[in-house]
Amino acid sequence: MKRFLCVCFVLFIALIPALVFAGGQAEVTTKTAETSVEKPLTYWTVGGDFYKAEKIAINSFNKKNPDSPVIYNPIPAGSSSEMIIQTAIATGTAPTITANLEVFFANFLAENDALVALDTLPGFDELIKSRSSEGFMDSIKAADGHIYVLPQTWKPALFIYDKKLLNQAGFDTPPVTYSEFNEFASKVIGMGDYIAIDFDPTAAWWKVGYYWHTFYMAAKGNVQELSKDGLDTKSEVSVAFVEFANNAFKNGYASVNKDKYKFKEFANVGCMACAGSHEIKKVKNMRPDAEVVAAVPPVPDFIGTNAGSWVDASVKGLAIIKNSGSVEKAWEYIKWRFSNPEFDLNQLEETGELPMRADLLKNSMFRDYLDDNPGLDEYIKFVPRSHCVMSSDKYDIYNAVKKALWEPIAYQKKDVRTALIDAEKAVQAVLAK
Amino acid sequence: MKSKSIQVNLIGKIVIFLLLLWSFINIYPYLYLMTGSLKQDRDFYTSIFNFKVLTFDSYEKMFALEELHFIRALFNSLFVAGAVTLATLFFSAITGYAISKLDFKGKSFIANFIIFQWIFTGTGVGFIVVFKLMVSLDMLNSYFALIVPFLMSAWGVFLFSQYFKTIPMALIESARIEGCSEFGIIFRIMIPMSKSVAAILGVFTFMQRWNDLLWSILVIRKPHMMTLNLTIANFVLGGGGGDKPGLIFAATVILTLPLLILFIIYRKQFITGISIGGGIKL
Amino acid sequence: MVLENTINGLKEKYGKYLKNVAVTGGGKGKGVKKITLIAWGIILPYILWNIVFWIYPNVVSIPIAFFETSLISAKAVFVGLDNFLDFFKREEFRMIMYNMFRFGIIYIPLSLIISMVLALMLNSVKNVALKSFLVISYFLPNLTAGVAYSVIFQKLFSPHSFITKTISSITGTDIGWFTDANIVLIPMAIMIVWKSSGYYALLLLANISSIPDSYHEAAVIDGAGPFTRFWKITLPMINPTFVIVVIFAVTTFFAIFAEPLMLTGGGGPMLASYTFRMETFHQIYDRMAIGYGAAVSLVAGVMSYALVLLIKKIVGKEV
Repeated sequence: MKRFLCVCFVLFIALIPALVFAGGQAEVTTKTAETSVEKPLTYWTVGGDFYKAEKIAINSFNKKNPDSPVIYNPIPAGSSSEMIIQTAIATGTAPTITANLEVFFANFLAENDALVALDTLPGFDELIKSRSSEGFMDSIKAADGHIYVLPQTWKPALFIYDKKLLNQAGFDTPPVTYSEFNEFASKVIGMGDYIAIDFDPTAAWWKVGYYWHTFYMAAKGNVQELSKDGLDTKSEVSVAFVEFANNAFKNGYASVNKDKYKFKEFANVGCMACAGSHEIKKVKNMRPDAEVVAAVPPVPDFIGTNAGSWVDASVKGLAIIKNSGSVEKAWEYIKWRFSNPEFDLNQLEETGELPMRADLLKNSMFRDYLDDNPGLDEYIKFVPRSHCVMSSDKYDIYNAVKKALWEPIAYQKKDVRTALIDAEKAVQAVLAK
Repeated sequence: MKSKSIQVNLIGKIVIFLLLLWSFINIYPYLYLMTGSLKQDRDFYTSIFNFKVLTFDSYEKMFALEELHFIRALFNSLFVAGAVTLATLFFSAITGYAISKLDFKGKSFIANFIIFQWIFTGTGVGFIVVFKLMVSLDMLNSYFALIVPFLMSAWGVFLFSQYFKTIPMALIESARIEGCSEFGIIFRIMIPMSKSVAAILGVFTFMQRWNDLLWSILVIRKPHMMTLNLTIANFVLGGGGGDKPGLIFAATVILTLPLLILFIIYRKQFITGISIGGGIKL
Repeated sequence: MVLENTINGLKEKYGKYLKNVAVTGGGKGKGVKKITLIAWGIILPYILWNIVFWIYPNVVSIPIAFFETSLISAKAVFVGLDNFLDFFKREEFRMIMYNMFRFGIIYIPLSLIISMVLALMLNSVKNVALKSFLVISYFLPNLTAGVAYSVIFQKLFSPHSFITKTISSITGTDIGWFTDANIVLIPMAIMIVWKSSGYYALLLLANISSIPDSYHEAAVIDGAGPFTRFWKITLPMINPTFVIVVIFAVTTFFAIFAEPLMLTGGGGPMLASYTFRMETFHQIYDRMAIGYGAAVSLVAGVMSYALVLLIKKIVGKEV
């Protein structure tokens, strides 16, 4: 008996490395085999609530096509999904379809020949007809004139105010100018352990970009702060925005203690700066009794009124990655998914993110949900008046701005002038590379 | 004389109080973890003695949350740590036997090399090249990448060879005369006699693989291949932690529990292990 | 992984085995040739594995630091010292050095004092059951994964936790442990003290308890007080272990990774919790710059090795 056990033990242990090697081998051989035949269709969705929504769509697609099902996973989290996707493409572990691609980044990948041009695929024009207002598709074209992303969501960025605090501070409607906002802020912090605005002192690059872009467009209309010459740090609108942020941190309207003041959880923040529509849903989850109002960010006093302002909207969507599986099948799935409006409604209900559709306000399908969630109307109004940043240096530029300007301002280590000069230098250094 | 003994007594009591205080400090975060995992997200910040609000909600949510691949992650962790442990034990035992009980050419070189390797285990630089190797072998997101770079342990070989040396040669000679092969000797005589060493090496190897983050975050990018440790890190980093503290705590309880159980069973080996250099690798 | 340097200390302790391993005889019952064949057969997997996963990576990793090479391309451009020079010029490097200093000032004395006091006190406990309970509880934190205790301490030190609220009400200011650049290293140091002090204490205890009682008794007869006995007897007797513990404590900073990743978004605010590991990770994971990453970790390795030598010279001298 003992001898038998010993033999079993040895065999088991000897098997493990063998299995591991064999497993590795098997993976390699199947991979090489698949490149000649066919890779399974893999799809990276956005994680969290989005995953729940997409699951429904994918499962019903798989039911119809049991032979070639879509294998789906959420995008692995990391410092940013862009980096993850880039690494995945570089290391050959990318999925066939990936969601959550911002247009600027997709165009950057397209320059490196990593994506499939969608407008060359059959039926593209019909598919997008229902999905976007005219002219929009032109604005997301890459330098070579092709479209690489199928927009899935609109993310206009607005301010979400706590209605109770707004009224207590003596405001019926959200403040319009910086000085009005400051008045609101000083009243809010006067009421006790509150802050007025949840500026994130350690904001990631994309959030810094969100702030800057949204404030900038609110004041200037449909003009981008990022161009080929870099970031506009010199115009009076930019200076006014940085001064506004500096003022907020200096006077305690915003706090660096970001774990303490959380709009979503603790009812001690006046407003959420530059938040997407999905935040409304999250607030409701954590604080069911909270009432919120969405509004455009305030504008500098010399602009005066924000009528006709524009806001930032990062358009995110799906792209097909080259050499990672069958393009036809991927396209078939995408067409199927986006020609069925019920999945868009499903997405809206699960995530609170606006599906990219031209008929959001008109289509009766969405009416019920919008009536239940009054904040969302405001977002939809801004859909035609929002725009996203296209510069492919966005990642590097805003990373530089975060280090040179945003964090020093938040922690009050630099004054506005030096911060702006440093930011300009850092951006130029990025462009020089 | 009497007052002095009272004084000594008092000092003794203070010492014990301080020692118990520190052990309370050591245990408190675990209590916090347990109670936190039994609370709903909304009650999360209430006192840890607030027993009325305890539920198993977070655990249910955790298993229900499909994107977490929780069961799979648990299996991955167990499989990877278990396989590495068994393989390390096996290879350490046979190599330790060879260099301690067999006389062969080149032995002193090998023995010296093992000591040298033990001193410079994982130079903190080498792993970058191993990572690159994994990428060029197309081995990202595989068990291969998680297991094979950790198959051997110089410390393990060293431990076994030290222990085997205390086993008298006569035992081996007599076994050979009876016709037992070298592997037979290893598995029927040497290993059964060195269970304590095997346990020490086993528990430390298991602990290191179970707790590893840096390596697995580098080589694993697909959710269903992630180890439990990485899954939780990934979920927190992806922003999931913000409004789901209860769920994170529940997952962390599961992350901590296997080691805790292992520790309770093998506590003696853990304690002995650290005095002979355990836990030094990595 | 940087802790490997600390094993130098252990090498001294166990160095005597080295010779023993080399001279142990055996295998006289069979032909020498056959035994040699069997022996090499047995250690062959070990050797093969070592060539691929240990010798090759460690040898290659030094020259690779002088190349600009990416994870994806096979191409490598020789850039000389550029990787190093660029790293030294960046603010990240300055902040890492500054953090190392700040972290060390809190962590090293705190962990050494706590572990030494614990070890001495533990040694005086006579009750076996109590002692084993204490020893077990001191080992507990060392079990926990970096991710697990980061998650726990994030909530323990959150602004809405009991601890923070108490301290805030005493000092009268709001404390954001992980968002204030000036104090962010304090909770991190406390966490790592929590994790490692018990472990250090047990290492020391193993050695302290091996000091024969007769030494202390003789000193008591000579009229030596407890402090004199500590300085003149205990400390010299446990010096080899003490050196190892000091080396552990000093090189801890080089291995910090999970804590900033989990708690401060990868080394924030304003790089106030940035570490070598974080920078290496950033280079090879986010930027895929293998050469640069190797350069960074080489700098860290050399630095930690220099520190180890320095400690041995200062602390080890007393033996």
